[in-house]
Amino acid sequence: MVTWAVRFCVSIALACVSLHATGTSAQSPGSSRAEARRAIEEGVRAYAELDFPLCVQTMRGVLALSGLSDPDRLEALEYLGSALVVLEREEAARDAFTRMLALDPYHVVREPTGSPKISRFVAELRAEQVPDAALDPRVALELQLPARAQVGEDVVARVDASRVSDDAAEITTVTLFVREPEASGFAASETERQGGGRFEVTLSPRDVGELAIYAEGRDDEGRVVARAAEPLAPRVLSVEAEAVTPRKSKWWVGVIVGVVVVGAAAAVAVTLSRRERIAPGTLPPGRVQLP
Amino acid sequence: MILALLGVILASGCSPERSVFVQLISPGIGDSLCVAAYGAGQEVFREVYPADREAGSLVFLEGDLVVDEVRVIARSRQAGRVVAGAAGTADFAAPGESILRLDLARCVPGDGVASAARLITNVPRGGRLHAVDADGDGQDELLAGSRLFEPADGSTIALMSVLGDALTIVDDNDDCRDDIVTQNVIADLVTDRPTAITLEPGAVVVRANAGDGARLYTGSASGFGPLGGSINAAPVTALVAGDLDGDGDDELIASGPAGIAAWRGTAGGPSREDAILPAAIRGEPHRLAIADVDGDGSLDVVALGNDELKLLLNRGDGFLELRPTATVPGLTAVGRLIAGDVDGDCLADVVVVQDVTARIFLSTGTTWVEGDLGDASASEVTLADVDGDGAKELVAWRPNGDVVSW
Repeated sequence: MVTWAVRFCVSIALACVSLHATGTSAQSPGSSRAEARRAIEEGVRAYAELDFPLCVQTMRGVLALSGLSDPDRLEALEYLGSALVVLEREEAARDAFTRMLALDPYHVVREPTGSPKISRFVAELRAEQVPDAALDPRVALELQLPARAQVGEDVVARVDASRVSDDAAEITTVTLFVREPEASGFAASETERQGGGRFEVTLSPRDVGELAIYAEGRDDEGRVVARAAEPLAPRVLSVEAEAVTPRKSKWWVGVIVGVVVVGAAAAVAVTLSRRERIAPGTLPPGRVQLP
Repeated sequence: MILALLGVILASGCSPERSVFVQLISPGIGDSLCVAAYGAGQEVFREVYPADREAGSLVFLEGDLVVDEVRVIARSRQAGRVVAGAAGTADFAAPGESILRLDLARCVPGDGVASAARLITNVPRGGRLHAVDADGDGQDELLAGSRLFEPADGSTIALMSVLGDALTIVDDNDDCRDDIVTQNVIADLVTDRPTAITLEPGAVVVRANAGDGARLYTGSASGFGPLGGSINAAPVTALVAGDLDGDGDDELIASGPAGIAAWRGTAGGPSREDAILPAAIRGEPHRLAIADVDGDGSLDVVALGNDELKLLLNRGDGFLELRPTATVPGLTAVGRLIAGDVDGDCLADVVVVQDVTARIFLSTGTTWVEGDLGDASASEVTLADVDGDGAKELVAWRPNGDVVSW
C-alpha cells in the first residue's frame, strides 16, 4: 500500500520535472526522455500495486511534459485510460483512450492484468472510432527478418499468420510498412501470399542505417485483424554498407578458378571415400555431416 | 602461385577428416531420448529416440560452416517432462576424431545458492514466471507474464500476449522443445502452429503418461481428467504427476477442497489408489510439488496445507510416508510453491513466496534448513537453467518488476 508520503513525494517530483521541462534553462532531450521514462515506470508500478489513483496522477504528470515522444505518450495514455476504467470514471477514460487511438488506431492495450472490462471498453470505443478495425486476439502475425541487411542486396521479409481456432478471423492480405532512415513516414508494400498462412515481400535497402518495419494483416473486408509490431514500436532491420568485392578480370583468374574446381572435385572424391571409412555410431543416422 | 594453390587444395583434400564421436550413456528412464547438436550459432541436428536404450553413439563430421566445435545436448523425457540430461562441447581442433562422452543424469550438481541475486532485466509485473526451453538448446528462456526473454542479457525474444497467461510448460508434441500451455492454446514457439484447447478459468495442468499414452491432464472446478475427458468429478486445485514406483508409468496426485486423491499408472491407464498417500493428509486440501527430496532416485511429494509444509517421502516402492519431523509450520498466505534442487547438492529444496518474500527451505535428505537469500523480495519464483550448465538456478520476479537470479 503506497502511503500518503510516497504520493506526496511522487507528486512533488513530477511537479519539478514539469517546471524544469518548461523552463528556459538548457536541458538535453536525452535527460527529458529519461525523466519521462522514470515517471512512466512509477506510474506502471503504481498500477501493478493496484494504486490506480496514483497511477492516474502520475500519468497525467507525464502527459504534461513537453517534448514527450509518441511511444511514451501512447504508453502513458493506455495506463491512464486503464486506471480510469478501473476507477469507473468513464468519460475521462474515453478521453484518454480516444487520444491513444489518435496516435495509433490499431494499438492493442498492453494492460498487464488482461482485464476483460478494460478490453471491452477499448474494443467498443475502437468500434465507434475506427471503422476498419476488427482486431482478433485469436490471430497472430509473426514477422521474420534477417539479423541484418546490406545496401544493394535484396532481403525477403516473411510474415506468418496463424489462428488458434477455426472461427477466428482469416487474414487474406498482409501489408508491410517500412520507414527508411531519415524518412518521416512509412511506405506500404503489399506482400504475396505463399500458401499455408505465409506472406512474403522482397525489400531492396538503398541506404545505410535502420529500417523500421511492421506488418498489418487484413481480412477479406479490408479490416485490420492483426499486426506484427506497431508504427510506434516497430521491428528494426540494420542495413550495412555494401561489401567490397573487387573483380579482377585478369587472365589467370580463369585458370585459378578452373584449378579450384578441379581440385575441389578431387578433394570431394577423397573426402567421400575417407568419410565412408569413418565408422558410424550406433544411433541413426550413424554419421551426421555438419553444414 | 598456381602450383601453390593446387598444393593447398590437394593437401586439404587429403588431410585427415575431423570428427567428434559422441558416446551417450543413459539411465534408461523416461519414454524418449532427445539428442540435439549446435554449431556455428545454429541448431545442426535433432533426433528423438526410444528411451530404453542405455547406450548409443553418433559421429559428427566437420562441415564447412561448423569447423570449430559442436555442442551436444541429450535429454530423457517422460511425457514431455525432462527427467535426465547431459550436455557437452567437443572441439574439431585436432585432426582425426575427438571423443565426447555424455552420461545422462537426473541431476547436475551446481555451485550452490549465490549470496546475492543478479539482476537480469525488468518486466512490468503481471502474470506468472516460467522457465521455457523453447528452442531445445539446453538453456532456459524466461517467460514473465507475456514477455519471453533471454536470461543472459534480458533481451526480449517475443511478446506472447495473444496467448494469455501460461498455465504450464511442457513438451506437448514430443519434439524435444518446451511448449506453452494456456487456457486456450498449446503453443510451440519454434515450428508448429498453435493448437486450440479449452480449459476452465483457474485450471491446473500436467502432462503425464499414466500407462495409456502421454497426454495433458487437467484439474478444475469441474473435476479431474485427461483433456476432453473426466476421471473424477471432485473439484481440483492442485495436480502433480511423476513415476513414483519406477515402472515407467506416471502416477497422478490431485488435491481440492475435499482432500487429496491419487491414481497409479497402469497399462490400462490411471487407476484410483489413495493408499499411495498417507492417511493423515488425505482429507485436507494441499498445494503440491513433486521432486526427489532425499536423493535416493525416487520421487517424493511436498505438500502445503493448514499453513504447514509437509514432506511425503517415497518408500522406494511408490508409496508415500509422512515425515512429521520435516513439517514446517507457520506458512500462511503462500502465493507460490516450487520444489527442485537450488543449492546444487541434488536434494530437492522448497521455495515458497510468502507476503512478497521468497523463503527457501534446503533439504538435508530428512528435514529442512531455512536458507538465506539476502534481499528475498519476490512475487513469483521459478527454477531455470539460465546459464546452460545443466543445473537450475532460482529466479524471482520482484514486485518492482526486477527479474533476478541467484
